[in-house]
Amino acid sequence: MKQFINILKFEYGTYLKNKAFIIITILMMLIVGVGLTVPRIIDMVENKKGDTNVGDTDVDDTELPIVAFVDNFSTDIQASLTLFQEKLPDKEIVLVDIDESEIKKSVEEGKYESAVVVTGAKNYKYIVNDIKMYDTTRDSIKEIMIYKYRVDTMQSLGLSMDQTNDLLNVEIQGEVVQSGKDQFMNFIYTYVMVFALYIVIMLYGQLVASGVASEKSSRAMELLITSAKPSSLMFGKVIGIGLAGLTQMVLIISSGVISFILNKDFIDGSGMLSQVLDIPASTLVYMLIFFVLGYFIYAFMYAALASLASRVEDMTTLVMPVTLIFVVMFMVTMMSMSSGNVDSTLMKVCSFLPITSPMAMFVRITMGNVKFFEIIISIVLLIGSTLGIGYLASGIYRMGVLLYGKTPKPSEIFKMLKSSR
Amino acid sequence: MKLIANNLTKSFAEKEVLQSISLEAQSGQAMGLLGRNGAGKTTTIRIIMGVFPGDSGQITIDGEKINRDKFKIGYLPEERGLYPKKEILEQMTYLGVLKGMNSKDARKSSIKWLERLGMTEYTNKKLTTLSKGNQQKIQLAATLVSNPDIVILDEPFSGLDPVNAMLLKDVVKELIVEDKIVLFSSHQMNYIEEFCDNIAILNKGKIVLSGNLKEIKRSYDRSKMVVLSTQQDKIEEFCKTSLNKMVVGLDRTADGLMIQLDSASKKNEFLSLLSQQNYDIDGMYVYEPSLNDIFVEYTED
Repeated sequence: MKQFINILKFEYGTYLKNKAFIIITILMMLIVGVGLTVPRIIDMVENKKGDTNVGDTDVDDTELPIVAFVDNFSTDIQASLTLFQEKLPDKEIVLVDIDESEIKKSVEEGKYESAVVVTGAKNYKYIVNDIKMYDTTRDSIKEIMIYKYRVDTMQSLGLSMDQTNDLLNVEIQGEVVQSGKDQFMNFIYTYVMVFALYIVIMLYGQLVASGVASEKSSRAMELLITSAKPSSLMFGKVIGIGLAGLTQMVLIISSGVISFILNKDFIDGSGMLSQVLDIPASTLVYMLIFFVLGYFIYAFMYAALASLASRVEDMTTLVMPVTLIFVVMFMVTMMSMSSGNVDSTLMKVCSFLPITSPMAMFVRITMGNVKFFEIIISIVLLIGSTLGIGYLASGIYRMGVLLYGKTPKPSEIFKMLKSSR
Repeated sequence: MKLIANNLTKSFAEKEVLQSISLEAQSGQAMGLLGRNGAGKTTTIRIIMGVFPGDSGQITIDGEKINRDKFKIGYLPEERGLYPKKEILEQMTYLGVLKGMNSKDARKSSIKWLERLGMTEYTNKKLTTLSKGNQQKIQLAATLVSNPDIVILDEPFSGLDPVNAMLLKDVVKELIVEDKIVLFSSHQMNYIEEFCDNIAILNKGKIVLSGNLKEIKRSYDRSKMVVLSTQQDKIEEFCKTSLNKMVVGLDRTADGLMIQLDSASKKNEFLSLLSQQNYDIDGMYVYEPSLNDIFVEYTED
């Protein structure tokens, strides 16, 4: 036990002191932290000339962009102008009386942000320099035109103003009674979590494999194996790397969370993101369980297979089957998620098979219909198999680390396993 | 302290690697474990170190089953290997800790051994930055960090220059003086002859010869004489003509003229007859086989 703790400490320390590991962690923290600050920076840059008081989003204080307005069609131009101003509250609509080419020039010069020229009941021109990525004005103007056309037509058909308003601004009272889950809301965080699970297992699993293989190829194993029990070596490595990975993840997520809280107003004005991120505590608990178990079951397989390799290059080939299974499982899960049917027979089977359950069951919990006892069965099966695979892996590891030369065939591995018991 | 391995056997996947190996090693003495490649030396060493158990047989120290927590074993593997990208002091300390030391003692001992081997300047260097010979010395230091009671050295001299070889010889001699059990495995017979009182020769998983090296040599028939002379031709002629009754074989070797007598008891007669002839003789001695000859004799196919 003491030996195991020493190995664990050493392995954990190895990664915490590893330059590449530190650099990647810091880089990721920066990317996440700064990434979430970007909206704030954009906001700052855009409001620079307007006000020094950056965080303030008070509309009255800032100058509104001016939109030139020409109406060559309507009889009541003033009413038309009022309608546009009403529907575009974040613009200042100015009635101008100049011809089109001059308007174009003014827009180009930046005198007006854009211009609207109404040329008929169903015709208009929107004059603008650059259409921005999220230019909502364009769509708004179209809607205003449709609205205006309807109002005009209804009134010409003899309806009163109130009647038209009633018809056009009808409000329907409705209520959604939800018995299952809101797949859309859950989809986003489930997607993120499944992706994180994929990356964590892949990344740290491979780290375990290459750690084992490099100890073997550098022959440091010759000394290690004569100084410590193979099982201590393997479990120490797997858990050590797991802890290092956890540390890395916690740091990156914290950086994201802190940055999110600091920049909340800028990222998430509508509160949509907060709503999406409002993950139930039980989901987080399940996530942790499946993360930990998923990591262990794969890390054990990686460690056992890597122990059979004499060189680091052989290791890649040896762990390939496990990686492939894992990638296929990831694709199946992702595809079921986007199809919306996470309770298909395939997913049901996958959610109980220990190798696939960390992802499949997790997705079914967040997005599908699954009974509590099913979750428990799946977790118990997973724990059992993780322990079983851990035991088998330490057996393979014990023999594997002493094998050099030709990589043994699966049948030979079984034979050795049997004779070593 | 006496280490005894008794009737060790081991099979890997139906292949019998060791067939009833028995060894004895005494503290304060070095024991040479010899054998051709694949004879089973490493397997024997691994069983002694407890990497895996033998299929049968026991290992005892002073009659009691070996307790590897109590008696520490330092091992210099033939395939050298440490962490290439770790600082030397750090990995030496780690290896000491794995052997059951606390980290402070392990550190102190590491520094001590680095000093003894003249490697202090590399304390905080990474292993890969060192030359091969220096890596070898670090490996030796790592073997001895835990202050082991039993030291197993597998080809310790390979890759060392004469100065470093001398340093290693001194260290090994110190270990012997400090009353440790030293197990020595090498194909460089001169080193074995220099250090080892006892040897065991393994061939195809069996001990084919073991015991005190001097006694083994003495046990050879002492009927072969080596004569050193500037007049070898004349002596050869004389043996062939006048002494053909007692001389049954003649051979010119680099050592001198090798004369095989028909029996060891004829030695004195041969000497007096030869000396009467008044040849210019530089020296004459009874031939003893070298360890090399013995090794080849016992392990040849």
